[in-house]
Amino acid sequence: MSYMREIPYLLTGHYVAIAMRPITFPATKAEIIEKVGGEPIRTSPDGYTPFRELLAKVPLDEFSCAAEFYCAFNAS
Amino acid sequence: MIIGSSHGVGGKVETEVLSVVCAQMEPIHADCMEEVNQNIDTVIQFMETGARGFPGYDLFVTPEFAVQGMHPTKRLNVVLTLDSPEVGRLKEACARLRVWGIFSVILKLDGHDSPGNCAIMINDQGEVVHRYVKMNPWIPTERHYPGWECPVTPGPKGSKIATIVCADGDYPEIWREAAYNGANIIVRPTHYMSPWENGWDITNKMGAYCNQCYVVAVNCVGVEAACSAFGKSMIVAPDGNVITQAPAGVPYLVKADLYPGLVDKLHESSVTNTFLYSFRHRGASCRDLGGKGEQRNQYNAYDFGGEGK
Repeated sequence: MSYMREIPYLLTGHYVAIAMRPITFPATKAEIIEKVGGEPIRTSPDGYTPFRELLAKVPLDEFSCAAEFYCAFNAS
Repeated sequence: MIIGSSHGVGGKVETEVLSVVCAQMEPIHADCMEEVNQNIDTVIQFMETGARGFPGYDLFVTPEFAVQGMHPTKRLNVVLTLDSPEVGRLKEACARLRVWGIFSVILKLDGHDSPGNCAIMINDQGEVVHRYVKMNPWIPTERHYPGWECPVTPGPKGSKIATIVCADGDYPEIWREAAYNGANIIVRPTHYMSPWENGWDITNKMGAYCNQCYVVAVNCVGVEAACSAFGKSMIVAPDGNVITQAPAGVPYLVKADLYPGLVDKLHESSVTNTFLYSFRHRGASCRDLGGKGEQRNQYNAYDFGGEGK
């Protein structure tokens, strides 16, 4: 458990995937922000970031499939 | 049902259920139309046995050479056309039983002296809706004219069907071509022979796993002039796991229910192992490439070193 606390950012992907549950593809960044941008994403042991702030950094505006979204997300 | 993606998949999976029956059989290697019709008798018997054992099934599949066999010296005596009486019997059987069928037939090709080793699909109205010509004849033994495209045809219950034939499946690019063209089910009729039992196993699994498609692979059995076809027909899930498999060496029917919409959902919503996306977006998670990845084809093998077209 201490290991998990030392690198909590690895859990961010889990919380992103949960926030993305209502999304189907193809989808635009604007649509994702509209639907789930208000979701708080846990980005540290005690901190949350609105999903829209994370999404704003994603380099693409349109996603043909989930793989494209997550690749772009990880490239942001 | 399947192993699936690393990430939870959003939304619902909506799919119809496609019931597939495969006939593992031993065709006569015909040298005359009388023997072709004996093979067709056997095919129709298998279709009717399937209807009794698996009432309401949707799709019937035969192995390669199911209709004509592959006579070593007299195979040209039994080449068919799509409007021949023999193909007509297959059309009539599909319409009467109200099932779709995929049949291996050696057909005359317009503009060529040599016939093509074909897979055709007949719908439940008795109409030929799909024809594929084997792109990779098993050279040097097989002297059929090679095909030039891998079409995908809408089938029953939301299926999008591509056919490849036997030795085709030894080439990874034909599986990818079928999936790239939109297939969610790749059907592979074969006359696959000993000692390549392991090749049979790994190529079918590879075709399914590497392309996230169902694979329906139907083989012959029997010893003939030069080889021994071993059977072991199989249906493979899009994660590469075998759903069902026939035994070696005996005529057999295998059946499975497939979920074509599941494949479509995997292609849309899987995050990892999404090879149809990632092979065109290599390194897409690398920040240097703006989320799109490398989209150029940098494989020499896929354009023959720049001389592919």
